[in-house]
Amino acid sequence: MTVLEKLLDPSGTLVNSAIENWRREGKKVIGYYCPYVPEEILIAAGMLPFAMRATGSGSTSTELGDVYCHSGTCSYVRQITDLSMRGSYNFLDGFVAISCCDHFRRAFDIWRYKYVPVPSKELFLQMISIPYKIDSLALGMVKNEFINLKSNLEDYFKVKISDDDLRAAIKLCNETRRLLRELYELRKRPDPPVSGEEVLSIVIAATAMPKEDFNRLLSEFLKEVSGMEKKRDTRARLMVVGSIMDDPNYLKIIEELGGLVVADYLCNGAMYLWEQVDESLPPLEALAKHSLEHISCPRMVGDYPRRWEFMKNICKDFQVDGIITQRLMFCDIWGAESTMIRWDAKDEGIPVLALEREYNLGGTGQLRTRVQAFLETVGRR
Amino acid sequence: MLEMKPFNPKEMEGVIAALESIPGALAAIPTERPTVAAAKAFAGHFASILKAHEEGKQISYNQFCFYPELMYAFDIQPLCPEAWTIIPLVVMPDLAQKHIDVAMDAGVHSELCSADRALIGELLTGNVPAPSFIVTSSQPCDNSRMGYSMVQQMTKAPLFMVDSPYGETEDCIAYYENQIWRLITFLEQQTGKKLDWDKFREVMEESNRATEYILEVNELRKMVPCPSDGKVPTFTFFGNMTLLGHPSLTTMYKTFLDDAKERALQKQGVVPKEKIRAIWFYTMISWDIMAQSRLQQELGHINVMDMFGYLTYRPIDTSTPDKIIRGLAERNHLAIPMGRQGRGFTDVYFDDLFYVYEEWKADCVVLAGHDGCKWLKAATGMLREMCRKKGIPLLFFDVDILDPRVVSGETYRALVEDYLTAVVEPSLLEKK
Repeated sequence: MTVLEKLLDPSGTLVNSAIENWRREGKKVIGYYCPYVPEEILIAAGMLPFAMRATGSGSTSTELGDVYCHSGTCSYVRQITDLSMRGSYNFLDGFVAISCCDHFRRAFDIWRYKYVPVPSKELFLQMISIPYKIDSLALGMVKNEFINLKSNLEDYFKVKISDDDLRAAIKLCNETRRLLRELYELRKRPDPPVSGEEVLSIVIAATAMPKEDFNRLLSEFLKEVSGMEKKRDTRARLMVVGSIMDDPNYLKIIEELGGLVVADYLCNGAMYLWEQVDESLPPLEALAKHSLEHISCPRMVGDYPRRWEFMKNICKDFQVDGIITQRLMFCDIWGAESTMIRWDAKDEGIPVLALEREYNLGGTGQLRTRVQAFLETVGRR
Repeated sequence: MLEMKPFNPKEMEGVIAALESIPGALAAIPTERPTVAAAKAFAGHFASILKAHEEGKQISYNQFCFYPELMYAFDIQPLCPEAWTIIPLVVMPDLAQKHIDVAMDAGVHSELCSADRALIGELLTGNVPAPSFIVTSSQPCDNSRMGYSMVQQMTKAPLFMVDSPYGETEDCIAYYENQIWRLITFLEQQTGKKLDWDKFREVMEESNRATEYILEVNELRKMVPCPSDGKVPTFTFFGNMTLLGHPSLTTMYKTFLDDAKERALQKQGVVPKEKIRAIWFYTMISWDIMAQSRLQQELGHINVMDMFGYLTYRPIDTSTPDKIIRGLAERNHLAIPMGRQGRGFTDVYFDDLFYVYEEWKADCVVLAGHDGCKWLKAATGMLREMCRKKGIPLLFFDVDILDPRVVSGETYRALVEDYLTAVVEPSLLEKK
């Protein structure tokens, strides 16, 4: 396997070989949802954080999940509920979520109610309450939540998490973020050596394997491609924004049609990796600050102007020709945000294509038609 | 930038006139005394919004999970957007549709709660005054948070959101309490005047009087037969979000209490032959709320309590400013209907439902699942299973409480009537 293949591999499976090896050593894996969850605390506890997803599972069913969810619940939640009921997450020892959106909040309740992910054994479950606003009071609240998470992990798993452990984990994750930013920087080039599909796969790998291994692989890869350019038949450079997007095949379709995804505003993209944790602060305070103040999810009320400013700057820096907003059906958070982006992008003269989708890649014919039409409008040739 | 038309009072005047016509139309029906009282109070409230606009007085939007006492204390005119988009449907059932369509034409996604879509449409068409500033709450749902974010972007009005954390611990209440202090600073900045604590205490005492009346009404509703009309819990919800702290709400609740007491003393029910006691443990359908009267008269069914009328708070200690703020924090964070049930873990909703079912001696549960309420809908699978285990009949159906085009009155009424007559009634007979 080449270095790139090793980096792309985890996004194609649910339980990749790194997770299998980790578990074989008797170590714990904790599922989490949302970049507001501090991976560093889990790593400091000696655990492997795994970003919850269903892609790579080989299943597209929501049949069992639908028993408890409603047809108005987003398909991401319906599918991970379904998989949990089928025992597909049996490799997890715990699950940490945040009060991110109504759909996911209820999914967490269903997990608690049914205890389905691992019916045969106990499971560590924790909900972290992240405020919906950014100010000094909210910062105190987040810090308390992280203190609770740390102490609950210590109690439940009988481990001790020292400040030094936390500092080491912060350093490790900062290195991951630094390397990923370096990867993103390559996309500013007129002919980037990596596609959007590949970058997304690599970010997913960062959330599904030990960071040490990931950092080593990504460093190697960056060395390989640092001087490279890849000529493509590119019709437009695009930024993809919106709901959780962990299926690189979605971007592959866009890129097959001549779009090149050079930037994003995704929770498992820019939001995950853009900003470093301040290593000079006490660790839990630094993590709380990072979690609350990093470029925000649209769930954070009152922060839209900062998000839009960020997106506009990205459009300039990465020479973006158009924005694709994609949201999961029934996702109100990205539904509203996409609408506001469309309103503002019009004033800025930035073309926007608004797509709605289900979590599973279906209806690709329609996707192709709409992307093709968009590329006709914004394309460079 | 989206273009918003300047405010045109015509539609609001029409709503006021329609509400004012209710007393004349229903005066002869004793069981509709609460409806008459509510119509008078809401007509007066909307008239005061018009007057405030004419006089150039500041108008603050207050989201429905943040009651308006502080606005009354600051002499700001509160306008609860959810009240304005929903209450008029009692007299003009189709009113929201055109506003919803305007919002969707402007690109608003179709699954956003219709209350938020209607508000956006009204702002675009100039059928509601734009806010001087906005006070909102993070409770209960994504739709509300996102709807208000959009309204802020459209109007550029300063916004203060009081954030409710997930839990119910002392830390959570203290966090909320601190935010109220900051809100007071925000309101002082917006109005250019300091909060008059004596005035605020008076408003809170008025609020407490209203609360005492309505809590007594709720107690009386536990009686068999139920002495108070099935629509009263919904009117309570509307009343609190618009008028709590204002004397007209106290008058309205006093009328509710007098009406209920009169029947209670004679051991009479509001329904001639009470057969089925239901808890509509979500919401009534605003555009068809008078259907409750028909269900009462024709099927002997009564809604004894719903989620919006179920109040778990008590009057607030007004002895010191600190105690008032603490009381507001406890009430708002822990007890405001829908905020309480929707904000955090779903257990609170389940526990409330089963408690109310027992305490109000209900025979069945009816859940009108409003289209926008994903937080509730995603819990219905668990609820069904729980009700089945407990042997509690449950009807859940999809509906939109602002837009009859989603599920029509005929369709949902047929479901409810079939459920009451073919499921609940036979099971009650069997029990007997």
